[in-house]
Order: sequence, then structure tokens, then C-alpha cells
Amino acid sequence: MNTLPTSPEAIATLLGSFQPVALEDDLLTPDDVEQLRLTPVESLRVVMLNGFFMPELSTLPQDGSVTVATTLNTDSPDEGVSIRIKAGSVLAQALEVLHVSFSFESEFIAQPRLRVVLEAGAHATLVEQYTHLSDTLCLNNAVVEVFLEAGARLSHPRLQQESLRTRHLSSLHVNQAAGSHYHGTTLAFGGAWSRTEFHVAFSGTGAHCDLNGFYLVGDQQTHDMHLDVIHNLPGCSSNARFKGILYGNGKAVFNGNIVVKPDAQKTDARLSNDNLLLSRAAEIDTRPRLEIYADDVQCSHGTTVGQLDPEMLFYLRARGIPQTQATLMVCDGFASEIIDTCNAAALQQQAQTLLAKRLASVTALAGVNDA
Amino acid sequence: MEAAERQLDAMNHAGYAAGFITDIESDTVPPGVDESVIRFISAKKREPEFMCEWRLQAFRQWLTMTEPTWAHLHYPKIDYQAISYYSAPKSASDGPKSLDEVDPELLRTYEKLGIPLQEQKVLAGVAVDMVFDSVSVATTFRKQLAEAGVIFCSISEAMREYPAMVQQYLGTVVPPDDNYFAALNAAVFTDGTFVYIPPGVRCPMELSTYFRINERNTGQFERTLIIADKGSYVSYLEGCTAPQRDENQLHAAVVELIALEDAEIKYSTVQNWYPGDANGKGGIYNFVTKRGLCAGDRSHISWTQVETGSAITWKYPSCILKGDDAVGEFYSVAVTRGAQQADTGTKMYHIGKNTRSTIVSKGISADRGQNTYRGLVRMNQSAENGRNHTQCDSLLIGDKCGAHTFPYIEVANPTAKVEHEATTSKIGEDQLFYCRQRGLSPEDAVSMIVNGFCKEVFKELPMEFAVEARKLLAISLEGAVG
Amino acid sequence: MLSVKDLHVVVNGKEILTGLNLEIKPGEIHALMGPNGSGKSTLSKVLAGREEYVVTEGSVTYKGQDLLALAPEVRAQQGIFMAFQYPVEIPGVNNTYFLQMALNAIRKARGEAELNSLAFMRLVRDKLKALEMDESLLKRYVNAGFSGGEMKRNEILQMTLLEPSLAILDETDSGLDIDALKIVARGVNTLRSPERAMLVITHYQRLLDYIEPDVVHVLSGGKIVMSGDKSLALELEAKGYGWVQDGLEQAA
Repeated sequence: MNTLPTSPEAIATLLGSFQPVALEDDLLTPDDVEQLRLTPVESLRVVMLNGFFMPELSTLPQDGSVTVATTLNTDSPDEGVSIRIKAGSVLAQALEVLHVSFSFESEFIAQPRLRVVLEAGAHATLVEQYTHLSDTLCLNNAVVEVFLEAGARLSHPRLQQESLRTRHLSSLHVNQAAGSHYHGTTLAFGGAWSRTEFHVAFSGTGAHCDLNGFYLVGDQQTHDMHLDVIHNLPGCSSNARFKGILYGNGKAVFNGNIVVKPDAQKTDARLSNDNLLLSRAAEIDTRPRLEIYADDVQCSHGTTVGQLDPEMLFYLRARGIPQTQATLMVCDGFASEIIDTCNAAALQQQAQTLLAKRLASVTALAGVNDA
Repeated sequence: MEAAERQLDAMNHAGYAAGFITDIESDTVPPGVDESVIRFISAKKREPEFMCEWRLQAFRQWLTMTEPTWAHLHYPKIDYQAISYYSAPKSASDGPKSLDEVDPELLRTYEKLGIPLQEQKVLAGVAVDMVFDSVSVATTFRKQLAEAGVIFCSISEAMREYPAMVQQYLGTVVPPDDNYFAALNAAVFTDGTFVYIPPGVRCPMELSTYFRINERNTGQFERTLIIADKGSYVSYLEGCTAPQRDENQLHAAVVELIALEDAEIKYSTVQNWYPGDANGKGGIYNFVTKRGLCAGDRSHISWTQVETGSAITWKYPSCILKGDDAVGEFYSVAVTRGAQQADTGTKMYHIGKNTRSTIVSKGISADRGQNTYRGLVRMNQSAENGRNHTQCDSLLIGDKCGAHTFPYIEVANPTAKVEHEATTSKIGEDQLFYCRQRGLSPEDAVSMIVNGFCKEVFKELPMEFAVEARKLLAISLEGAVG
Repeated sequence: MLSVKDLHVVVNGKEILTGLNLEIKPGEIHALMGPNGSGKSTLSKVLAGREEYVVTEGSVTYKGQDLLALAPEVRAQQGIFMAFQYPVEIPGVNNTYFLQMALNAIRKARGEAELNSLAFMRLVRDKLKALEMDESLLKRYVNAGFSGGEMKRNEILQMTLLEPSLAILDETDSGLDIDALKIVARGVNTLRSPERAMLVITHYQRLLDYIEPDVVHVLSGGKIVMSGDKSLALELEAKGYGWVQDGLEQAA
């Protein structure tokens, strides 16, 4: 089993063992994009190949409500993309950012960097996908920054379906101004190991953040979900709901932290993490943490770890549904609570299909709950 | 919350009811610890040779270890060479043979604490083993217990009288190198309690020890070992209190419980060490390692604690559920007020099949108090059908305090089921108003609501202790919240 | 007994009561009716002393003293009882214990001896019997997991125990079935006496079939716009609150 590096030193060593790959601009074709896209063909689309922006494969905006730039004002040596949505614009169609890993080389590193700014009052949906076309060993080290100015609203479904050989690291930073609303759903399926970080902070009051996450962890996989929601200002609310299904010798870590700083009165913060273990060798470590320094707050967290409810399975089987299918149905129901929060039909569809395919392929599944 | 704040102000003026100093000559070694001090302690206690060696090994181990920093606690660095590691009331050097021989000054101390030995003997039928600083000064009810085959004595005595048993069990649940404070304790522990319940015996009375730190600058390092043999039952009560001092005092105790097949141990603590003043001056540093081993099938260990004292609390009474169908429980009320900080919780290691554990933790923070629940629930691969339910609730009074919840849940068995719930809130304005509309003063209303909040834990305490715990909470709240 | 003069009350920056006048004499039962949002519950909360309700103008005199200057528990000790529309749950606090604490706090304020548990239980049992209520309520935590009907019955039980001089019933009838309604009415009627006054706040006329009011007031837009005898309630029931509104507009 692959173990996930945790110390900065270990991560640095790891990064060092992967080499950057040169941009090959004829590797990815419009046909590939057509295959991979999760939004309508005419949607605005930013395509990134191995961390490089591919303008000729992207569909860029014309009307000025959205600007896409490739220079980021940061120290990052890598090419990145900055998307800015004009104040007050309400985008009817979703924006898509498609990250593709594809190379004939092995042990390469991709470092995509994305910054999304919604100016005051802008409303948008951003569909993000991490996918692969080749099954090479690579490291994907993504950084996504989201800035929501006052009153902005962003719906942000993300699907991570990297190859099972990929090492995936991604961190999402959300900064919310007064009255803004962030609604994100991250569905993590791929990667030999993957670590997804969420960092949420507020720069104004009355903001709300919804973070949803689902992870499916199978044989030879390790998933880490790290969550840091810092309530540093009064009157903001956050609701984080994460669920995971583990099978084979899959291992997952959920490390969620909610901090309510001394002046953050009237904070409403919720955190939940529910896990289904389908096999003997699977393991979950979960740490939902609350650190509270203000008194006028409503905070709660809840965690469950368990197996499929035998009564539920029995009920389905008593109605003539075979064990395997019943198991799939129950798992699907469990995951749907999160997948359904995506508000992106094609992405949801894709996730459901992946889930069904992956679970059906687990041959041992049928025997799991006979005990 | 205006009403509660008013009472907080009142609290700053409220004194620590147990803050008197007993004036007795003490036999104290100079501050500091090295191998010669350890040899001195061991010789002073006329221990068997293996004990001295055991202590020295622990001490060498301790020298290689570092003080843990992961807890959510902030306190100045402890100078371990400034602490005196042995202090015994002089008159006790020969050991009192009966209660009449005990220094009357000492007995008065206990009376002030509300544990009149004579009266308690008659009324409650509780046998008391008192630890005064380091030496156990009086043990009552020995005879009745002996008739039942129960051994209840100081651990120094046990080392002399039952060396085989001590050697067999001591350090098996909390090894000397378990952690920094446990290692220090193993090296320098001066006394403590030893209990053995023979197979099939239901201990005829509740056993109780009152701990009290008296000497200035003395650390108290007691060690408790309780063994419940097959099918036996014992309920053990531990009360702690210490006089008011400006200096911080270190308390690093170790408690080991062993429950064999079908045995049950109920261990209850009411901890009221001096918490320091409102500005954090003085108070006990309480670094305690408590762990129980459910060694046999169907064994049962239950920890109940009411922690209202100490400047710093670092304490995780834990259960290793090794036997099949073993049960572990942890019920806790922790109050932090003034500048108190508590990082407390439990660990439940599920190893055997069908093992069950329950955790109920109630944290109350007032003033600038910081209250942390830290708990581990581990389901090993072998823990078939293991079950855990955890409920952590925090109550905040005032806007300068903090409540933190750090659960660690590790599950490696798919048939295991773990549930964790936590809530944090302040006392509801609606609840307070409702009570006041019915004529209750804000103080009574807050006290009533807080007691209700702690109900689930108090009901786990033996009767006499529950009354004392409620009283203690009321005293804390009299000043702190109502 | 109670005299409310030109009462203006602001909640969260919004003026809810806009110059309300009300006189209640000992022995009288007043019914206060009005559509949702007219300020009925605001009045009850101001009388009981809820701190978020800010009185910007006007006065409330109770038994000759300035009621607004008194803390909520002092008002209770002086005989004001409010039956809450939504009684709050207090987990872990035994209902009997709560009732005994409340009764003894009030008895102490009246200069009466506190009741011990035995005497208290005897008294509670008598009251329960008179109300034809079940004892099971006593064993539970205050309002925790109570059904709507149980909560209201518990309020009435408290009222009969505490024997207030001025009882305020804040929509105690809402959501009650006919049996529970009768219990509420029985509670009120047994307390009826020449020294005692009551203010019954209700949305519907139904409760007034069982409790006969001396005066009926209609509250609208934060003040009392109409007062009359029992027949006013029936007329309201028949014609609806729109009728009052129309009448006001025509008058204006």
C-alpha cells in the first residue's frame, strides 16, 4: 500500500523525484476534449494539459463578463490561469475547467494553478474535472484559489477521476467576503493516493459556505481529506458534509477542523463525516475537530463509521433484489446525498456511473455482509 | 449573557473553600531528582530490591524522554529539579497503628474537607485510605475487608506484604516508559493505593481515597493499582483537594486497573485541586495517566470523573478492551473557570470481539477557561462487532472562554460501528428567561441548567459522591456561574 | 392591578407596539385577540420582562409600582405568571425539581415557609387531580420531548401551583385538541377569583367558549383598536379580522 507523505520534508523529497514534462501541444485533440467535457459543448471551457493552459482547446468568453488570463501575480513558476467574473454578472451556463494528465513519459509532475475571482454580486457555476488519458505514473499538484467578493455566489462541483497510478495533491483556498455564498462538492475517485485540502476563511460577515465531499477508496488506494474552516468574523455559517465508502485494502483519513475565533460570535458551524467500510482490510481514521473561542455560537460535529445496514439489505432482498444489487443500491443511496449536491447533471451522471462500475467490479462485495 | 457575567464577577471574589494549610513538621528531601533520591525513596519505604531497580530503569528512561506538547495547554516550563520528591509527615515515620495515633491536626484537616473519618465510617460505610502528601496515614475498615479477602492498603505496604502480586501486575497497563509523566511517576512515586478483589467477591463497601497535597513545592506522585479477579466487583472513589498556594504544584499520578474475566471495576474521581487564582497564579498541574485493562472476557471498566480543580489538567482515563464482550465507559464533567485549562478525554482500544464502549463528556467553560475534549476510539481489525458511542457537549459561559473537541477515530474492522456527536452552545437565553419567569434567581437558574447538562454523568456516580459532586459544582458555580 | 399606558416597544429595530393602552382590574379576565403579527406576543413578553424588547415610550404599572423596572424573577415573585406559547426544553432538569424550586422561590418572596419535598408532592398531586392530569409529566425533564399538548398542560399545572395574581396566557390554546383545551380552561376557571386577573391572548374565539372573558380587545398594528364584551369575540369569529381592518380604514 502506498503511504501518504505527511511531513513537508517527505513531500519535498517526493516532489523532487518527479520531473516536469515539456508542453506538447499536439498531444491533446479537440476530439479528446469532446469526450471528456462535462458541460455543454458551447460552454466556456479552460483546458489544462499536465498543468499547462491550452488556449486553442479552450472555449474563451467573448462578451466581457468573464476574463481569462494566463499570468498570475504570484511567485509560482508555473503557468496558471486566472478567471475573473465581472461584478453583477449572472452566468447562465457553467464554466468548466478541465485538467487532463496525459503523457508517454513516466514520473512527471503537473502543477496546475487556478485562480477564480467572482466580483461583487456575480453568480456562477464552476465545474472542475481532473482526469487522465494515459495510465502513467505522475504527480498532480494542483492549487485552486477562489475569491468571492461581497454577495457573490459560486457553485463549484469538482470531480477527481485520475488514473489509479496518479498521485494527486490538491488544495482549494476559499476566501469569502460579506454575504457571499460558496457551495462546493468534491468527488474523489481516482489516484493511488490523493490528498485534498480545503481552506476556508472569511473577509466579511454574513457569508455562508457549504462544503460537500465524497470519496470512494478501493484496493491500493489512500485518500486524505483535510479541512480547515476558520470562522474569524462574526455571523458567518458553514456546513461541511463528507462521506466515504471504503473497500479492499483502501485507507482514508478525514481530518476536519473548524475554528471559531474569539470575535466570531453568532457563528453557525456544522461538520459531519460518515463512512461505510465494505471490507475487512479497509481502514478509516477520522478526526472531526472543533476549536471554539466564542460563546454565542452554534457548533456541532458528528461522525459515524459502520457497515451497510443489514436490515436495509434484508428488506431489499426480501423484495427480490439480489444481494449484489441491493448492496449497490444502498451504497448509491449513501453516496447520492453528496453527489446530488453537485447541481451539474453531466458530472453527477459521470460520478454515479463511476461509483456503480467500481463497486460492481469488487468481486468480494457479495460476501461482505453475509456474516 | 448578562446574568452569568454578573456572577462571574462575583466568582473572582469567591475564595477556594479548601485552601487552608496544615501545620505539621515534614520529613522532606531537598528539591531535585537523581538516582540517589530514588534510592532514598526506595530505602525509606523499605521496598524490595526489584522495586528500586524498576524505579531506576524508569528514571533512566525518563531522562531520554521529552515533555509532550501536543495538548491544547499553555503553561510555563516546569523545573523538575525545583520539586521535592519526598515529603512525609514526621509523626508518621513509625506509622500509626490506629486512628487514635493519627496526628489530630491531620484529622482536623480531613474534617475541614468534609470527610470526618469516624462519622463516615458509621454513616456511609466507606473505607477510607487517606494519602497525606506522600504517606498513607490511616486505613480504616481493614479488618472487615480482610474477612472478605479484599486487600486494600497503601502500595508501599503492598510491596512489602504482597511483592509477588505487585511484581506481576505493576506497570503492565501503564508501562514505565509509557509517557513522560508516567516515567517520572514510576521513578519517584511515593505512595498510593493497592486493591485486590479475589475471585467471585463483590467488595462489601465502596473503597475511597482522599488525596491531598499539603507540603509547599512538593509534587505528589501516587500510584494506584487495582486488580479485580475473575467475577469480582469493586467501586473505588477518589477525591482530591489541595491547599491554596502561590506556586504551582505538580501532580503526576498513575492509576492502573486490571479486570479479569467477568470482573467489574467502577472508578470515580472528584478532583478539586486548587485551581489557582483568577489570574492563573498558583494551582496544581495535574498530569495523570489512568488506564484500565479489560483483560478477561465480559470484563467491565467504568471511569467517571468530575474535574473542577487544577490549573492544568492533562488526563485521559482509558480502557483497553482486550477480552471478548468487554465493556469500557467514560463519563466526564470538566469545569474550567478563571485561567484554568483542561485537556481531558479518553482512549478506547477495541481489541476483543463484541467489545462496547460509551463516552459521555460534558465540558463547561467560564471566564477565560479553556476546555478540551481529546479522545481516541480505535477499532482493531480483530474487534468484530465493536461498538462505540460518543457524546461530547460543551457549554460556554462568557465570551472569553474556549471549548474544543478533538476526537480521533480509527476503524479497521468493517463490522464495527462508531458514532460520535458533539455540540457546543451557550446557556440558552430562553432557558434562563423561562426559569426566571417562574421566580428563580439567575444564579439558581444557571445552576439548575448546568446541573441538568451534567445529569448523564452524575447519575453514574455512587450516591454519596453524586451529592458531593453536585455540591462541588454548586460551589464552583456559586462563584462562577450562579 | 395592571395599567399599560401609551406603550411603544421596539424589537430588533422595528416598532411592534405603537401606543398600547390597557387597564386590568382585579377579578377581571381580559381576552386579547388579533391577527398574526399584530403584537400580541410582544405585549406578553414585555410584561414578563424579556430583555430584547425595548420600551421606547409609555409606562406599565402593576400593583402601583413601575413594572418595567423589575427583573423577570421579581415580577414572577410578585405574582406575574406567563404561560409561554413555546415553552423551552431544559434537558437533564427534572420537572418536579424545577416546579419545587420555582414554588419555593415564590413562597420565599411572599414570606411563606418553603415546602419540603413531601408537602410539595402532596400539593402537586392535588393539583394534578383537580386538572385530571397524569403524573407521568412530573418524572420527565422540563418540556424535553413533550408534545405540544403536554407542554401546554405543564404550563397550566405550573400556573395552578404558583397561584399568580396576574396570569398571562400567550396563545395557550394554539395547536390543542379539545381535551387539552378543556384542561387549560379548567385551570383558568379554578383560579378565577376576585383578587386575581388574567390576560388571555388568543388568535381564535374557540378558547373563549370555555373561558368567559369580561372584556375582549382587538389588537391591530401595535395598538388596541376595539374593545367590547364577549359578543365582540363572536362577531370577530364570524366576520374575520378583515372586518376590523376595513372598519378602521373607513373610519380613517
